Amino acid sequence: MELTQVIINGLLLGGLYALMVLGFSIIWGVLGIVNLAHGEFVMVGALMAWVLFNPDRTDVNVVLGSGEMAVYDIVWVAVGVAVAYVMYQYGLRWTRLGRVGRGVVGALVGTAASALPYLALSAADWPKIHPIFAAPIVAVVAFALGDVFERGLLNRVIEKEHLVPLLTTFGVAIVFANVAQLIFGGDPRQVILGGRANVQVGEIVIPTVRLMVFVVALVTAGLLALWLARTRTGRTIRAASQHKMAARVVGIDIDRTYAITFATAVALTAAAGALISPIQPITPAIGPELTLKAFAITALGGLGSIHGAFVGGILLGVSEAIVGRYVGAGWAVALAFVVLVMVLFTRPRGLFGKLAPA
Amino acid sequence: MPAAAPTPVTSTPAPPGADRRLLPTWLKSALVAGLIVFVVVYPSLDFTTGYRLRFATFLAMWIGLASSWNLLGGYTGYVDFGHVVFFGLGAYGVGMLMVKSDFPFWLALPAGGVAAAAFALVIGVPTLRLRGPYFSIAMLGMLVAVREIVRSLSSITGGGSGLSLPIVGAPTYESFFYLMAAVAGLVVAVSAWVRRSQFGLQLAAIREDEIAASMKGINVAGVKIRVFALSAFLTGLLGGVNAYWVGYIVPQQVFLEAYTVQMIMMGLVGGLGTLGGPVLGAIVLYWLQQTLWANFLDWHQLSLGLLLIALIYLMPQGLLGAFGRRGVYSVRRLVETWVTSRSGDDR
Repeated sequence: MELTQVIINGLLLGGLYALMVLGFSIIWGVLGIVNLAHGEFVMVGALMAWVLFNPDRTDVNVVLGSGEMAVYDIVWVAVGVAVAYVMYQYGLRWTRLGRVGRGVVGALVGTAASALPYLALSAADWPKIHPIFAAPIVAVVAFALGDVFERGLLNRVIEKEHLVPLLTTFGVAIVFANVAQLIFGGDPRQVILGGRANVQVGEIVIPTVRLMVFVVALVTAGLLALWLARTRTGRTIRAASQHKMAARVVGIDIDRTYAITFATAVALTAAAGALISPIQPITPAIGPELTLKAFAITALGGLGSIHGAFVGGILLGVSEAIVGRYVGAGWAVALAFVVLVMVLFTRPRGLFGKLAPA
Repeated sequence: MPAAAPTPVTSTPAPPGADRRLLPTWLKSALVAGLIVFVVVYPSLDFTTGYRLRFATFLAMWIGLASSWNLLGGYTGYVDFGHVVFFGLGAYGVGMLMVKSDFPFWLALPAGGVAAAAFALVIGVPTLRLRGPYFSIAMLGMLVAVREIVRSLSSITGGGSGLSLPIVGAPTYESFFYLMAAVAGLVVAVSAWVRRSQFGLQLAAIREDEIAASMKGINVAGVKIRVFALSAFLTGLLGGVNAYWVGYIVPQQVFLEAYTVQMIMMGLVGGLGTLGGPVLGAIVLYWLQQTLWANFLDWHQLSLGLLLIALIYLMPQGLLGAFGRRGVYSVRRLVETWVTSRSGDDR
C-alpha cells in the first residue's frame, strides 16, 4: 500500500513536471535554443499568482523615485501594458486598422483591463484570485514578455553559435532572478488555499490541489497538441521546426513564427508557475533547479514532443518519489542527472523526438 | 583510425619567418602574461591588510580558472557548464588525502589534480561524444550529480557538514598567494604552449569543423579527451590550493555553478579562444565585481546579468577583439554591431 501511495505521489509530481516542461520543450524543438531562463519564467508566474492571491498584503512594495507602489498595482499595470502590446502586435486584424490604430485600441482595452479591479471595488474588497483563474492573466503578461524578449534579444543571436543564445538566456535568467530578489526578498512564498485538502480513496491520500494541477496539465497539453496540429499558426510552427529554409521559401515569416512560438511557450511556462504556486514554496533563486529538471525531462522524453514531455515528466516524478522514499533525498536529485547522461549517451533523440530544429 | 602522432613541437619544421627568435614564442607569451599579472597585482599587495592579499589570491585563482576553462571552451569549442566539478574534485582530493590519510600537502596537491584528470578521462568518454548544448548540459548534470553524491557519502567526505583541513603546519596567507599565483602562471604557460603546438592546431581544427578535422586524420576523440583531462588537471590543482587556503570545504561551496559561470564570463569579457583574453577578462571582471559588490550590494548580481547580455551583443569578441589589433573601438561600430545582429539568412 505504501508503494502505491509513493507511486501515486510520483505520478502527480510528474504531471506537474510535464506542465512545467512543455514550454521548454517547444522552444528547444522549434527554435533550437536551450532556454536557461526557463525556471525564472516559472518563478515569475508563480510570484505573480501569489501577488494576485494576496491583494491586501502591503509588505511587498517597490520604491519608485520618492514614492512607493504596491506590487499588486504593478501587476495590474503590467496586465494593461501586455494587453495593449499583444493587440498592437497580433490582435484585431479584422478591424483593418494599421499598427498604430491597433496600438491605440489595445492601449484603451489594456487600460480598461487594468483599471477594472479598481473601478469595480474598493480596495478592501479586492478579490483573492484563485491560481486557476490567475493562470490566464499571468499567461497574457508572460506572452507579451516572451514576445518582446524574443524579438528584441534572442532573434538577433539565433543564428550564431550555440554559446551565444545560451548565454543570452542565461543573462536574462540572472536579471530576472535578481529583480525578483530585489522586489520580494529571499523568503519562500506559497499560495495558501483553504478548503478541503485531500481526497481519500481507501488508504490512499490524494492532495486535491495536485490532482487539480494534474488535470489542468492534461487539458493544456491536449489543447496545445490540437493547436499545433490544426491551426494555421500551428502548421507554420511545425514547418519552421522541420526545415527553416524550406519554410522561408514557401513564404512563412520565420521571425514572426519564432516570436509567436517563444511567446506561447513562455505564457505556458508562467501559467504553469501560477498553478504550482499553491503546491511548492517559491523563492527567487529557485530558477536554475527548475531549468535543470526541464532539461532532463526534455532530453528524456524527446524534443518538442508533447507526449514525450508527459512520459518524461512522469518517469522522472515516479523514480524520484521511489528513490527519495527508499534510498535518500540527495540520491533522488542525482538520479535525474544520471538518467539524463545515460539517455543522452544511448539515445540522444530522447524517447519520442518530434519537433526538431533543422 | 589514423594515428595523429603527438609530434614533439621541436621537431615540426618551423614556418618561414618564424624562426631565429631569442625565446620560444610560448615562453615569451607566458612572460608577458606573467608581467601583466605582476604589474596589476603587485601594487595592490599590501601585506599588512588581509583584504588586499585575499583579493590578489582570488584574482590569481580566477586567472587560472578562466584560462583552464578556455582550453576546452575557447580553444576546442566545447562549452562546459559543469567545469567546476573538477575544481571541487581537486579540493576534495586534497582534503580527503590530508584529513583521512595524513598526506603532506605537496603530495596531496598533485594527487588531487590527478584525481580530477582521472575523473575527466572516465566521464569524457560518454560526454565528449555529445555536441553543442547537449555537452554543456550533460556536464551541468554531471556537476549536480557529483555534488549530491559527495554530499551523500558522508562517511568519507564529511557530507553536507564539510571537511576541515589541518591548520597545523599550514603556510602563511602570503605563501598561499605565491602558490596560487604559481599555479595560475602554470595554467597560462600551458595555455600558451598548447596554443603554439600542433596539439593546439588540432584543437582549433576541431572547434572549426569536427568532421573535417577527423577527415584530415586527426584522432578527434583522443585529442578531445586529452585536452579535457589537461584542463581538468589544472582546474583540480587550483581547487586543491583553494581548499588548503580556505581550510574548510563543503560541497555547495566547491561545486558551485556560479563558479563555472564566472569562468565563462571572464573568458567572454576578455575574448574566448585567445591566450590573453581570459587573463584580461579575469582581471577586469573580478575587479569590477569587487567594486560593485562593495558599493551596491543589492544590485551587483543584477548588473552582472545586464553586463553579460550587453557583452554578447556589443562585444562578441571580447575586449581583445574590440580593442585589440583591429583598431579602436568606436561608438559607431557598437551601433553597427547592434543593427547588423538582426537575424539574417541561413548561414
